[in-house]
Amino acid sequence: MRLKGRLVVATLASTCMLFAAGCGNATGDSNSSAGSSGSSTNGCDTKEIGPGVTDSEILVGTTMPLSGSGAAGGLGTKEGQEAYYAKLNAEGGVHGRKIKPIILDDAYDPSTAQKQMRQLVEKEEILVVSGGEGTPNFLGAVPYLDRKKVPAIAPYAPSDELGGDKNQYVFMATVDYIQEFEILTDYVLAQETPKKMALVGVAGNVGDNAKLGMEKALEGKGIELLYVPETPGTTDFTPIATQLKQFDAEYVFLILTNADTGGLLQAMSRIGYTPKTGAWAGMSDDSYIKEFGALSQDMLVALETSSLESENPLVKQFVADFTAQTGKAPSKFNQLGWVQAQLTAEALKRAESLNRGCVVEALETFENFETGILPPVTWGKGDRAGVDAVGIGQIKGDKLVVLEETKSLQK
Amino acid sequence: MGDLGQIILGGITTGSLYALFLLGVLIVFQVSKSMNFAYGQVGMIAAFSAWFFYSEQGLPVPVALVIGVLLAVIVNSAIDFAAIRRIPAGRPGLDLVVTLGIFLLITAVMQQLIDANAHTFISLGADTRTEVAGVVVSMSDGIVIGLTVVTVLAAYLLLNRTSLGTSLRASAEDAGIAQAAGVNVRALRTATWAVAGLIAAVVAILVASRLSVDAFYMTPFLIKAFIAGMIGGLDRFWLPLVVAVALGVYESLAVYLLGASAGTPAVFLLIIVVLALVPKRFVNERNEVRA
Amino acid sequence: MTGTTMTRPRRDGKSPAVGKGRGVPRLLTRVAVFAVIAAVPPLFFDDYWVFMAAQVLAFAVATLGLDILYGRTGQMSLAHASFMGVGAYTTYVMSSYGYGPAMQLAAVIGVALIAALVVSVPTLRLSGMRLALVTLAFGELLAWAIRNTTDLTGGTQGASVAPLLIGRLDSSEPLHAYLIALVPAAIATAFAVHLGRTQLGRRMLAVRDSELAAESVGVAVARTKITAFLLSAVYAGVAGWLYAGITGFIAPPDFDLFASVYLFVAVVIGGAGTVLGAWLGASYVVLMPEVFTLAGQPNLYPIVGGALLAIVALVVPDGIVGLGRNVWRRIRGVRGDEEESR
Repeated sequence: MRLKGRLVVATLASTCMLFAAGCGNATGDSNSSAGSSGSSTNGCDTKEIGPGVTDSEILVGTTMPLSGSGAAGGLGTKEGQEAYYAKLNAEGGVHGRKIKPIILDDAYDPSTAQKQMRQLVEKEEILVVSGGEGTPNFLGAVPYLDRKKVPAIAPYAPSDELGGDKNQYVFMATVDYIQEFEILTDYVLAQETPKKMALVGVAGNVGDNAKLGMEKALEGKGIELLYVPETPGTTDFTPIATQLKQFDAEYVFLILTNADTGGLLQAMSRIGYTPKTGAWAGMSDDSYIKEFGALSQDMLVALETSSLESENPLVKQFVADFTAQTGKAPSKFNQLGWVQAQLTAEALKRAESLNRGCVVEALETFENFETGILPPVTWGKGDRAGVDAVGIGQIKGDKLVVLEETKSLQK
Repeated sequence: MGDLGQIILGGITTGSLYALFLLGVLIVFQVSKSMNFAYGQVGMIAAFSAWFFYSEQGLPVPVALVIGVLLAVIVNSAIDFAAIRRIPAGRPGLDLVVTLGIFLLITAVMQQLIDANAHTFISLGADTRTEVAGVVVSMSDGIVIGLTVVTVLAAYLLLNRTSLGTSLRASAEDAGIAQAAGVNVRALRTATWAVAGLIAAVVAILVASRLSVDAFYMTPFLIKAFIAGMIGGLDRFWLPLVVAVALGVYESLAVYLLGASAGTPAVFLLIIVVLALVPKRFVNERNEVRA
Repeated sequence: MTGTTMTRPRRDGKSPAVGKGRGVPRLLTRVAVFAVIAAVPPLFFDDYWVFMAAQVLAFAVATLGLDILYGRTGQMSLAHASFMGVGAYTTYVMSSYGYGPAMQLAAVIGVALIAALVVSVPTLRLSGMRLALVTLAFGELLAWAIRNTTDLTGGTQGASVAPLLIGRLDSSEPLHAYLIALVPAAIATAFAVHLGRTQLGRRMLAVRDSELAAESVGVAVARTKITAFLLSAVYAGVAGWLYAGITGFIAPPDFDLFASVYLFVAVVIGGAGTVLGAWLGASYVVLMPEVFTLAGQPNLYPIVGGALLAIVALVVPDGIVGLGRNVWRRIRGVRGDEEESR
């Protein structure tokens, strides 16, 4: 009887496996097996055609948080990419082929992102990674992409891990938070010389990087800096607000989630402390200004993407195109998705042949490429940083006023 | 001194929110002997949908709030009716698994129906403030503390001074005997879950007015309320509630005195120390429950 | 069959092994079944599925460990994923100092044991939810430690871990990772099966069913609990070591409270107190999202995953193993009916 019991168990287990098997074959029987596909060696072999390319289609893809706490950014970016590709495909696509983006949900989780990236590379067989959104999740997939030599084009994942010498397959198009906060601090110092500045940042790499950037800019200036790390999910901001009030800085910089930025500003105003503020690029998004604008009057904001109200003809064109595609005005994340797709498409256009090696070579030819949305993008042999500038904006009323279009670190 | 007072006031206010929230957890636990992991999300439904109705659909704020609260009451009762009651006896931990599923479901549904952004909520007196002896007191602080005291006292009196309370305690002690003695156990149980839904809704709305609202913001409150409940004992009344308030104050003081990054370790080290050192009679749970 | 008593699955396996004569063929059957099932993924599937299978192996080691603690000893832990994290981060630190797999594994086991001792000894007299709370606190403290030691651990943005190199096997290749993980998984399974037949295994069950009763018949409750805790921590540590090697990237969210709750879910959904349940539970949490991908709806799982979990838990309160038993009993019952009527 117990033996029979075991048999049931074994049958159950094998049916589980078989179930997975049957379905596995259903999607998995596309021509080549994953390991051999995309034998992208270094260099561009013009005779080779990469994975994901047929006579009519080029598959690209990426992962983003479409559910969970990071979903707002991912959903917006996805929409932006899809709008751009829809427009491009309507105009005929690239090399006579339509681009099909596959965007999977990684729930802002690194291990899910890696798993989904495997899905994209091995099962869907995408040619290249088109953008992406969110730092920790994207970083989770980077070692895998590096190993598989799959180029990733313009993911929005600001980190000091990317854009430098490591991870040669990731082509960045945003500054990291060290640079962003150095530029933001430089901007303040160009206007006035405060005695004290403070920074409240998400505890961990993000906050540490922002602090490092401020320290770089403040070096030798004799300005005191207070750094307060914050853990997401703080239920009472009074202690942090009180600590800031006590320190009495003229400027408080913030690099927190929308909700926590709002919560802290509210606690600060509750105890009657209203310094000048500055914040990372997330606060330039409409969804933030609409919700927390009243608390954030005159806040300086780094602009990783150009203001949607900019007079730049390329920006005006983007707003018109996006609205024509989707029937609504774009948000910051729509803008990010759009420009990620734009850069990906441009790289595919420039590639001599549609394989990963040639796309990498094509990316290395970008020199001050103007998107209107980002500062000019430059990549080269060994240079993966893309941009070294942000704009500076300020929240006035329910609008974002641009103070400086692009401010770079080259002084 | 003013600063310290400010911190303590903030801590008491946040601690009161933990306590009020915990009250909902306690009454449900005592009647159904189960933990509801989705409890924070029930509150979130109230605040998030209220926000949606007044801000996006243009309903008057009081109407939106009433709709939100009603939704929370309905959802909480439905959780008991559709799930908790159907858990067979003697499966420890299953309530946690089932309500985790509901937690994920509610989160996903609200994100799909409304959105994934954070939003400001009506301020409910957070903007009206006066200064007392160097400490800034907002009307919101007063509302939170006052409401907590009144509600907790009312709950205490209801449970200990009325016949309804006697029936409740009887069915909590032994549902079978209570039923035999003519108590409508099922109705009482449903009523308890509905009241717990109401409490969750009120806390969530108060929290939203002090911070902001999105699909996740109640989870830290749920965890803190559970912590206080587990330290104080979910089968008691006053001790866990006092622990909840103390936890709020302790947390604020730790952040203020030791720095913001010390808040987390301070709270959790305290848990370990307290549970390792308190006298045994406080540690023994009267009704031993697993999970 | 109406008279069949509903035995709780967890009560099974308590009876000591039957005559030794039957033991050997049974053992052989089991090894054969395990070998056949283990051969399926690499023989019939491509790299992606082999990678998923390797993940199942790593998670199965973790759930087997949690099952020893929760399913058999009745102690609730909300830090099992944190102990996996202890293993994974120890691996990362060791490998960044250039130590190979053997040293990594030794360090992982050592650190996991120390961490488990630190958590379990002061909290011996606690049980139920208070113990769960202490484990939760441990998990939060670990997360805090990782956040604040960016130079050592990579901090909040995670760290990429060098692949395990054992002989000619390189764990960045899914097939190799699978083969590497197979050995610890098999040992872990064999040990867990064996444990059920030992004195210790029976003591654990006694502690689970009633500490008071166990104490009265002379079981050293405290020592049994600590042993269970240590065993489960070692299992988790080894699982973390495998996980780090297989995925090549670790980050704090992999080991947070939710990850621990998911391991708990795996044990309960699979069927607490059974070795097979631990395996089925691990397969559920790793493979269920894939079912949606296969159905062409990869982004649907986060939306309906919660509802599915609640429904599954309500439909199979004794876990998948319990369901299997019921179905088997019914089939047998029906067949018995037919035979009788003939």
